[in-house]
Amino acid sequence: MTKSELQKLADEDLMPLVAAKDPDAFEIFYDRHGGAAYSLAYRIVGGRQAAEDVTQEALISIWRGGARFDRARGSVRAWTLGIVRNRAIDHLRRDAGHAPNLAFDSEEQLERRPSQDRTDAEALRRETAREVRGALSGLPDDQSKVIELAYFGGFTHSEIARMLNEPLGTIKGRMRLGLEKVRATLAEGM
Amino acid sequence: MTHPSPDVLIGYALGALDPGEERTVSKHLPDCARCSTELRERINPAVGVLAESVEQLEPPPELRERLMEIVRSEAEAQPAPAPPTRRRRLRVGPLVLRPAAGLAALAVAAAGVAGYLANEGDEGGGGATTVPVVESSAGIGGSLVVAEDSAMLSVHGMPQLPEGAVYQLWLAQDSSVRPSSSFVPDAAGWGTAAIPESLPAGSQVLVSRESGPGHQAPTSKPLLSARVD
Repeated sequence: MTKSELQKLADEDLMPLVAAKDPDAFEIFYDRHGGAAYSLAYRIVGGRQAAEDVTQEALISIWRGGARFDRARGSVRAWTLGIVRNRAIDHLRRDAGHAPNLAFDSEEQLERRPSQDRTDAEALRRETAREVRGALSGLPDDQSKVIELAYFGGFTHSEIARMLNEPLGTIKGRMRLGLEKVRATLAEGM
Repeated sequence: MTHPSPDVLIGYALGALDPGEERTVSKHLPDCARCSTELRERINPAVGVLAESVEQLEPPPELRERLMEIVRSEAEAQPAPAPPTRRRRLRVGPLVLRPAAGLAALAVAAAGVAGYLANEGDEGGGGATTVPVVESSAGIGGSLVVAEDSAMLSVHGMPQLPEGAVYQLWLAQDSSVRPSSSFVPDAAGWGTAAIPESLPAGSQVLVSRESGPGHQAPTSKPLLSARVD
């Protein structure tokens, strides 16, 4: 299959070719999701080199078949970002002295890259992210905080309860309420 | 069947469960359509939004270059697919394994081997290890590349599976056998699976066909066996 034919494939049809070790298919997979993967890794580990390492580890594990995409479980993007998130949290835990980067609104901390090569797809990705951040910023602080600590910090229910000096049930309840609001926002089409 | 509470499922999706709770949910999900659906259709989409919410950055071009260098070199090193044959019975010649530079020695044999044991051969030239093939009832072959803290099994000739079924990897050492990762081969019968842990010398990797993931012991005779030297 030529590269231009590969580019026309949906993610779900591209992944079996990645699993079959087609480097051109992987290149297209990277071009579609590498930016989101790197951005998420950066958000969690808080440094450029570590974000590169985490992204490389996660995407190579996909290439090598450590995880197999199952279309019944969701989109390729969500599956990929789930793998990146887990690798990034593992990195945080290995780097015991590192404090997780926990603010949603951390744009000023982020290293900017030249924008002249941005494609339309990247522009769309950035726009989507802005909209999603807007939806999340509507959550009450106590709900967004527990979600951030779990998802971006890698802390468990019990660790968060100890950290915030709150009962375990309160932490779980805030997490549920916060996620339900995110879901409701999604259902409204943001 | 006792189902996890919604709070526990949400905690699972956010990675907020203690290891014991997480194992319990992981074991429960493959056998529970209700909880799997709840997770897939209601919880995971909301969690996915978190991943998409971060400020979007352009990754450095060197990252793409490094990744593609690894990917292209590993693609070139893939064993050539077995030539098509009209006969179901196997197969000729030795199975040549290709240990990656700096990696531990390894041995893989096509199976049908009593006691799940692989025969090991002599060292071949050019840094390859050659293993005599034990005759198998299906044209299965492959390689196991063992690194310091993980291993990768690549196989070909795997028969197609019915929906939901998987090829399950098992790690055997001394008298114990425990489950590892699983895979579903592609339409051409190729499959790969990572083993995300160190494989000590003397351990074995077995592959059996199972009705689905989640079994704690093989329910069928292993089709492949690889022993780590």
